[in-house]
Amino acid sequence: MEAFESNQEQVYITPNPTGPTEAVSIDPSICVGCNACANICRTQTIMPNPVPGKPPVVVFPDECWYCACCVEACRTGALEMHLPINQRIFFKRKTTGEIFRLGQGDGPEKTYFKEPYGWLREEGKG
Amino acid sequence: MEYQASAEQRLAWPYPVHYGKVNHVYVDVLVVGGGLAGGCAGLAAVRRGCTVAVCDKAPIKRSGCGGAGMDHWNNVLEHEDTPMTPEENLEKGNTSARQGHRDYIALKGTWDALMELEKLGLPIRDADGDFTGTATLDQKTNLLKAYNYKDLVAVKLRGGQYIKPVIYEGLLREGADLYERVMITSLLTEGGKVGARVIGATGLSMETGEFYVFHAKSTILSSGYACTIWTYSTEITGNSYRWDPNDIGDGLAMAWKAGAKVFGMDKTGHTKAAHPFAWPRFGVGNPSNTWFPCTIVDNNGKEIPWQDADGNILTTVEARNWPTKHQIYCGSPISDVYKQITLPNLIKDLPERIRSGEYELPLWADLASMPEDERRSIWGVMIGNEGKSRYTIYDLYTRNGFDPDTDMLMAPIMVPEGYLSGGWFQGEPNAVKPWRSESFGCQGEPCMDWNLMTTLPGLFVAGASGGLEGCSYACSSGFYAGNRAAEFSAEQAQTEIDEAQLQAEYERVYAPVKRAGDPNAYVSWKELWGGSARVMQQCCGDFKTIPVLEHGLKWLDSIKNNEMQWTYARNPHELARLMEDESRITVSEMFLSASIIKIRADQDANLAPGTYIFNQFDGKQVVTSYAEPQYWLKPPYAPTYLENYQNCRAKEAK
Repeated sequence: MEAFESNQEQVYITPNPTGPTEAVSIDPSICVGCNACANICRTQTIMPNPVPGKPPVVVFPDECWYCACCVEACRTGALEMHLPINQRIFFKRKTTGEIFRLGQGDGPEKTYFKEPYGWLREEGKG
Repeated sequence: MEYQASAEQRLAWPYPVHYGKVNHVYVDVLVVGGGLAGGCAGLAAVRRGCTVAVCDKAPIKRSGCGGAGMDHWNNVLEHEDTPMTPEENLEKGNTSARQGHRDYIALKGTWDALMELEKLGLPIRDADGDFTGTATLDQKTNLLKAYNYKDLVAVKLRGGQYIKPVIYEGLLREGADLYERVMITSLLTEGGKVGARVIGATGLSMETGEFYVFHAKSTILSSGYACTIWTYSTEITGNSYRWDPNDIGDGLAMAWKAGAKVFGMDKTGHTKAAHPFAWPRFGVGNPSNTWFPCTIVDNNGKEIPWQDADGNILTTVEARNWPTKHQIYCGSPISDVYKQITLPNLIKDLPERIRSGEYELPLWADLASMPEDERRSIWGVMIGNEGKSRYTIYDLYTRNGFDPDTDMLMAPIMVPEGYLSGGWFQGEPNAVKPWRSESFGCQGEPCMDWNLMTTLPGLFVAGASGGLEGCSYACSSGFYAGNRAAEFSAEQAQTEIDEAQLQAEYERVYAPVKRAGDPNAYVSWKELWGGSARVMQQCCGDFKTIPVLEHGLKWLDSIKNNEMQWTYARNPHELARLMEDESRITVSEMFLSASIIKIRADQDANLAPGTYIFNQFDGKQVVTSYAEPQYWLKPPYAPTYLENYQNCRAKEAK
C-alpha cells in the first residue's frame, strides 16, 4: 500500500459523465474518418470530428436510441454498440444448464453465424 | 468515450454556425417529419407533380420509429384472401373513443402500400424458398403469415430492415427536396391569425443554426406521437424505448398553437406500454409480439401451457397460430364474442400458479425447443428485421455467445400478474405509474376530415400524428395524405407570410442563444424537461381532479414565465432540444386542459354518452365543441365508409 500518481498528467475538475457512458465506441485504428456514422445518427449522438479525417466523436451517449444505424453505416466495422449495463440479461445453455450474462468476460464463444432473412448487405458483421 | 474522458478539452462545433440567417423555400407541399408516414406522403405528392420539401430532425434514410426496420405489417384487409373487409372491421368494430374514419382510411390502403413498397425495392416475399412447406408461408402470395396461419392477415416482413432506405431512395429519385436535421418550430397561418389556413412553417437547422421559412400551399404533419411528456429520469436509456427520441410532440404543439381542433387528449392513465423503463425491445424472453408464439419454461424447465381465447389448452406449437371457432382470424379484434385483440397466450391462471410455487421464476424463452421453422421465423425474420433488434439483439447477443439453437433467454422478473399480458420487455408493471400510454391511438390527435385534413385548411396529418401507428398504418395514411395535400395545393396560390408572425417566432427561437453566457441563464434543456415532466407526474396521473389539474396548469405557467426565460443554448443541438422542451410544455397544457374539460363533460347531463369532444386554442383561451358518435358518417359526409373514401380518391383515379 503505497501512494501513487494518477495515470492522468493532471487531475481536473470535470463535468459528470452521462448515463449510459458508452453507447457506442469507435475503434480509431479501423476508422477512416468518413463520418458515415455521424451522418446517419438520428440524435447527433455521434458528431463529426472538427478535425477532418479524424474519427467522429460520441458526444451525447445519453441521447442514444440504440438503433445501431451507425453500426450498419460503417463500412470498415469500426463501430461497436454496447448494451447499457442494466440491460444485459441472462441466457441458459440447455445442454449444460450453464447460465451466462450478456457481455460477461468469460462467456461462451460465438456459435451462431447465420444472417437474417432478407439481408442484402454483402459483408456480414460480427 | 475519448470526449467524455477529456471533457475539459472542448471541441469546436463541426458545422459552420450562422444563427439568424434566413432561408426561404417555396414548395407546393411541405412534409413535417420524414419517417414512414412522411416519407410516403412526400412520395405521393411528388408523383402528383408537386414540388415537395420533406423536413426531419434526423437523416431521412433512417429517421422515425420505423427507420431502423420493421418486422411485420399488420392488417392487409384489402387483400382478396383476407377473411374480413375493412368495412366489416369498422362497421362491426368498437370505434368508440377513436376517430373511425381515419382508422378506415389507414386500413383500406395497407395492402396497396405494401405493394408500393415492394415496387420501390423492399424484399417481402420468400424469394429463396427458405420457408417452403411451412405453415407460416402463404402458398399463393409467397408471403409469410404473421400470428394467424388460417388466412393472410398480417405479413412478416422478410427484409423489413430496408423499409426506410427504399422510401428514401424513392424520394431522391422522384425529386423531393430533403431538409435533414431541420426542425420545424411553428406553423405559419394566413394573416398570422390563429385558426386560419396554414401557409407554411418555420424551421431551424440543428447543424448550422440557420432559420428556414417554408412557403407551402399545403403542409402534412407526420411528426409522430408526443412522447417523454411524463418521463424524465437518468435511469432511462433509449435502448428500452419504443419511440424515436425525436418524437416529443412538436407537431401536436404547433397545430394547437395554430388553432387546430384536437381530439382525445384526456385519455391519460398509467400503463406498462412503451415506456422507457423497459428492457431492450424484443431482447428478453417473452411469448408475444415479435417472439410469438415462443414456448416458455419455468426455472426448472417445466413448460407453461398455452391457452386459446376460448380457454382451451393448446397441445401443439402450430395451434398457437390458429383462431378459435369464435374468431374470424387469430387475433381478430372483432367477433361476436371478443371485442378486443385476443391471441392465444399462456394459461390465464399463471400468476396464481407462480404464487403457489407450481412454477418457479425466472421464466425462460425456450427458442431452442421450437420447431425449426418457427425458430428461424422468430429469430431470423422477426428479430433480424425489426430495426432496433437487428444489431442490438441479433448481432450483439450472438456475438456474446447466445445461440438460439441451443439457449434459452431469460424473461424479466416481475410480479406474477405481469406475465398475463404480452410484451414482457415492457418490464415490471408497477415501476411505471403514473406514466401514461404513448401508443396505440390513445394519445389524442388533431381532428380531421375524410381528406385527413385538420380543421385548419391546408394542414393534413399522417401516421402517428393522426393516431395511426404502426408501419402499415403509417405508410398507408402517408400515401393517402400526400395525395389529398397535392390536390389541395393544386387549387391554392402561394400566400404572403405575415411578417409579425414570422418575427415573433424568430425571436422565440433564438432567445436561448442570446442568453448563452449570461450568468442568470442557468436552465439547461434537461433541467427544463425534468421540470415539466414532474408537473405531469404530479398533476396528470391516474387520479384526476379539477383542482389538481388546474394546479398543474398554474405550475406550468409559472415555469414558462420563470425558468423558461432563463434557458441557454450553446450550440444548435441544445437549441433544438430547448425548442422541444417548449413543445412538451404546450402538449402538457393540452393534456391538462383536455382532462379538465372531460371531467366537466362527464358531469354534464345534457351531453349524450359517447359524444366526441374537441378542444381548440383560439389565441386566448381553450374553446370546446362537440360531435355525435360516428360523426364521420353523418352530413356533410356520405353515410358509408366506402362512399366517403371513394369520393375523396375520385381525383386520384383520373
